Amino acid sequence: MSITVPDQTDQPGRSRQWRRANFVAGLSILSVVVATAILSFFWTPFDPTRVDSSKPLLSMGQQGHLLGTDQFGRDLLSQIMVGSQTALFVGILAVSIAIVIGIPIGGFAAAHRGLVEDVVMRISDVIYAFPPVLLAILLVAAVSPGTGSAMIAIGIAYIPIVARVTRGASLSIFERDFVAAARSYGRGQTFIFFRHVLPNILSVLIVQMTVLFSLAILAEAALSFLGIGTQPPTPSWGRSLRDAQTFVQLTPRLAIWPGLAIALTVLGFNLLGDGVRDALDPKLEVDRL
Amino acid sequence: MSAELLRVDDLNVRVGSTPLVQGVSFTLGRGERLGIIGESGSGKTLTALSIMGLLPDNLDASGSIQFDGTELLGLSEDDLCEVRGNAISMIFQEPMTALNPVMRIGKQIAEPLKLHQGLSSREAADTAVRLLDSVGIDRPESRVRSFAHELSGGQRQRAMIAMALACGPDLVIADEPTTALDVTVQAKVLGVLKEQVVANDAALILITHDLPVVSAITERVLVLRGGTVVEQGPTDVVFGRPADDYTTQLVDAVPPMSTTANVALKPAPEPVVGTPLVSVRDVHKHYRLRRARLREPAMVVKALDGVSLDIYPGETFGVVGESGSGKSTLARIMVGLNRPTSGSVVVDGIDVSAGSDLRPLRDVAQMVFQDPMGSLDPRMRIGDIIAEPLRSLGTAGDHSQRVRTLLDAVSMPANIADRYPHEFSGGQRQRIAIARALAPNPTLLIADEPVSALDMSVQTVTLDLLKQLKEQFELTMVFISHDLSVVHEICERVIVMERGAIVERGDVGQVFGRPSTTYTESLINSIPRLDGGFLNA
Amino acid sequence: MYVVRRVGVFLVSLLTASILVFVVMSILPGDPARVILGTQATPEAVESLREELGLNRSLPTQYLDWLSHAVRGDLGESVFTGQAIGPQVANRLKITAPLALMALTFTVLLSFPLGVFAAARHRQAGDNIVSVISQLGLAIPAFWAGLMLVTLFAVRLRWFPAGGFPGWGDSFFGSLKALLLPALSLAIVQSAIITRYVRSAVLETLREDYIRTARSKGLTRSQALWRHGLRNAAIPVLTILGLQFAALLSGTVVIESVFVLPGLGRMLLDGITRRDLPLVQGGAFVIVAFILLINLIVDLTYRLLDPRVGAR
Repeated sequence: MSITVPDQTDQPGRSRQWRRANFVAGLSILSVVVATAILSFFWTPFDPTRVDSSKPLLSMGQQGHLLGTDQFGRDLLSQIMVGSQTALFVGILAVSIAIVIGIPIGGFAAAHRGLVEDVVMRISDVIYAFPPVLLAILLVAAVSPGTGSAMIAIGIAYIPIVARVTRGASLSIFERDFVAAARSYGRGQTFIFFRHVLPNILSVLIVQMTVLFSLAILAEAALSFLGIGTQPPTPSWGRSLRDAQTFVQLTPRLAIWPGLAIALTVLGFNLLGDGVRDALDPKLEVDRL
Repeated sequence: MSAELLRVDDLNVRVGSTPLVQGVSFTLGRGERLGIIGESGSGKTLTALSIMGLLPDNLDASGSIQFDGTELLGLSEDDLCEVRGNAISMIFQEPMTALNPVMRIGKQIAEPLKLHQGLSSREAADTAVRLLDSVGIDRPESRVRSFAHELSGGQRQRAMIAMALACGPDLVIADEPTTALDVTVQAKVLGVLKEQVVANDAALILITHDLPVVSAITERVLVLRGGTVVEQGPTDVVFGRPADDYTTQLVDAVPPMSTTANVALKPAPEPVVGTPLVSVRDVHKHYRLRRARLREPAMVVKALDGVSLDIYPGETFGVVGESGSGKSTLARIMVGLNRPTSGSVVVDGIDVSAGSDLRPLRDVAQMVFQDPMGSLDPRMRIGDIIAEPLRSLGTAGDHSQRVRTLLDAVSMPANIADRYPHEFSGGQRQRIAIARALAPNPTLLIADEPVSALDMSVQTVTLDLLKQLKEQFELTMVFISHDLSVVHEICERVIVMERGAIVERGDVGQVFGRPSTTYTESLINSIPRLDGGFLNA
Repeated sequence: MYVVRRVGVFLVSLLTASILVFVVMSILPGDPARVILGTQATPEAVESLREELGLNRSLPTQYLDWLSHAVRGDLGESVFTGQAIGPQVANRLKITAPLALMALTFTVLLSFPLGVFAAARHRQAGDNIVSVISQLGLAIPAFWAGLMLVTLFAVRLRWFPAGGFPGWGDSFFGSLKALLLPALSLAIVQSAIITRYVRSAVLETLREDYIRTARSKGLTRSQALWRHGLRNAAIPVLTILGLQFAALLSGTVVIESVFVLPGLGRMLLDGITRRDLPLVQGGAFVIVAFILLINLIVDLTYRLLDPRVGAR
């Protein structure tokens, strides 16, 4: 038995406001990050890559360096600003790789039950056991470290996640009668997946994408921190943290600011994802207890 | 009249400012059995949950509910816990989800005994065995160790009854307790419910949409519509001489087969002539299950086990059977959604058997599905949904003109083409689904339980529409249903299926009037009738 | 049957993983022989070393050779130190495995109570506070949490060592203490994720019909939650916990770098800087095998919790 209760859009409850606040906060944070990334293409307070041995480890505000300088005399704020380019770039490409390959694989597995599905999902299970960092280590060991390898490794590592989510969500849609109806008037499984199933699982996939975006940013930071991601002189938040590690006991500031930049961006994506989830799934929860 | 047990006075339930139940009042005496009848959205379940104090958090109840001299509304949660399962207990509609899937049945039955009567685990376990025995479950000693998924639907609901009666309550509330069950099982479970309620001297509130069920079990009835009481009184009076128009409408919607034991013998249809449109010969459909144990052979489910039949142009052919009888599999094979394991199926000269090309079949055979919520793509506009088959089959001509014609044929306004399915009611969606099925101008329309998900009054209208469209579009129709009364109304010839095989076939009047197998006979005797005779079937 | 099938799946996955590792390492450009000898080496020298290492054989032969040794625990020798890789990996695991399991324990201890608490206080202040904390936890990179913990507890307060590992034999409690901060850094992030799953699993369960049945029997909200809800809610959470273990284990690679722990992760990174392909190959394979093993255990435990698994 289910009780359907009319949606109370005229009387937004506390939780609805709360979730809306999440969404707005996420969007605002991301706007700032994206704006910073765009601005940094044209202007930064200092040249982020210029080494100046005359002013190492300046503290905040000294000589016009708002966040100070690192041990090589590079301006921290400028580095963080340009670092947002790397983060967003890696996020966009890694997620694109994952969805462009993962969605068709998941859809294919859901559309063709039986042996094909078993084989596809088994392989994806195994790839799933390779976390991005591990995959990147393998890739970097075989090729060379760099933003590109990191991005590809992260993208590949997320393919099985996207494939699983797509398959899981698709399976129940494929069971629905409108799919049977489409088959009865002659539509093939591929057409059905893209025209009938995909639009119905889009909200799930969009939420998944925002999650993957933030995971990709975290992974790139981790790889660059290990020295096998983005290579100098390209600024990257993870790279800045790696450089900061040696001096963290002396000047925690060098580790705090890039870390906050990462945390804020990831927080933005997560809040946005939660907001999108609620916006696309407007069913009012009915509590049994 | 016996002493008063329950008095509900001006009960109102609302969510925010929207009223869902308005001013419901009634009384119930000790040991009395009351039916609450209503269609979906009538507030019957909310009324029951208000008495239990189990309304969802975002709903507010006001008014008064006096139980045995105590006001239940506003009673503290702790005191309510003393009442629930002890003095008042409840049986829910879907026993599969209402039972905890990871706890053994016996423990679930023992729970209220330990809670309210302070029995030790051992005593409670012994009582659980006795309770299961009393509701007619065989081998109760071993069944108490079963999990819900290991029992059949009927057994699960019997276990729920045992659980509800464990502490000898004064009042049992049963919310659509048999709606999810097959008719033959329903008759037995209702019999057990009535017997146990009487044996325990308990009062009963039976909530259902099914008039014959209420009529068979209860002494008094309350008719709800849109959250308000439209009529109440002794069951035979209300159903015999309804005072309210809505009640009259409900009573009129009860099919003839459910009114008396004597089925009016339908005149034999004209003898079939010509070559069959559909010809099914010795069709088998087997599914292999995964092995449960290493040494056991893989189980094979025979969904269809040697089915042969002919359907002639222009007739309405009925297929009846309970769940698992293979009737839906048969339907899906005839429209090419499933392929038979062996045997031959020919539809309008097109071979539909294993391995053949199905494309020519697409504009010959179309299907209407049971659930109008699931059969329309929620992300597509109505116009696109109906035009999809035309696009898929590359039909020439003006598609939007054709969509308008089809909407008109199913009595829907043409201007809804831009709207989405969620804006329509169940009955309206089913019309849209019928329009889509008619789009490729099929000769064969297969309707799989097309009215089962609809409210009774909507069922009648939809059946009339199907009858009319059959003439208008010169269709041959296969009508699949678990509901014998509906098949009796619309079909000329019928087959009865049980476990993948046809057990009886012939003219509807002959099969339903003088069944030749005990299975068909038990199906017919189990149909809830207003006179209640089916309970002892 | 379920157990047999599940173990079979595990073995097949293990084999597939080993092929994947091997293929990635072999197909991609980069010649180990040239790496060992350096850029100044003559082509003849490189060729003879390739011969010696067996690199001029066909890929399937090389793989089968590697596999036949691997099943006996022989993962080859490091091209850099010449030492056998198997014992090295075993040694490193003595740090990485306890670190991962300790982090997992912290994660469960933190996230289960928090998640259940939030679900029980659904839409109240408590729920919102937990959700804010877990949002923040989710956004923090584990290694950054590590850096901050070091700054606070090791540098400022001097409660814990900033890094290094005394060795289990030398100082058991010292070793435990050395793993505490790293495990905590990993657990902070993981608990944030798991808390959210626990919360939604419990909420989902509380909406089930059988919870209402339980309450209709006279159980209070919390009795219904404890007796009927938690075991059902644990089923989906367990799956997520198994899947998240992969993330946790890869987190150890980074965390070992922060806390200068000589674990498997350090070994892999050192292997990369020295272009020591067999070492990287062996180490990566062992990590993947560990992850697959944990997932096997999770699936088998799943069956104990859910009687429906394997019955259909």
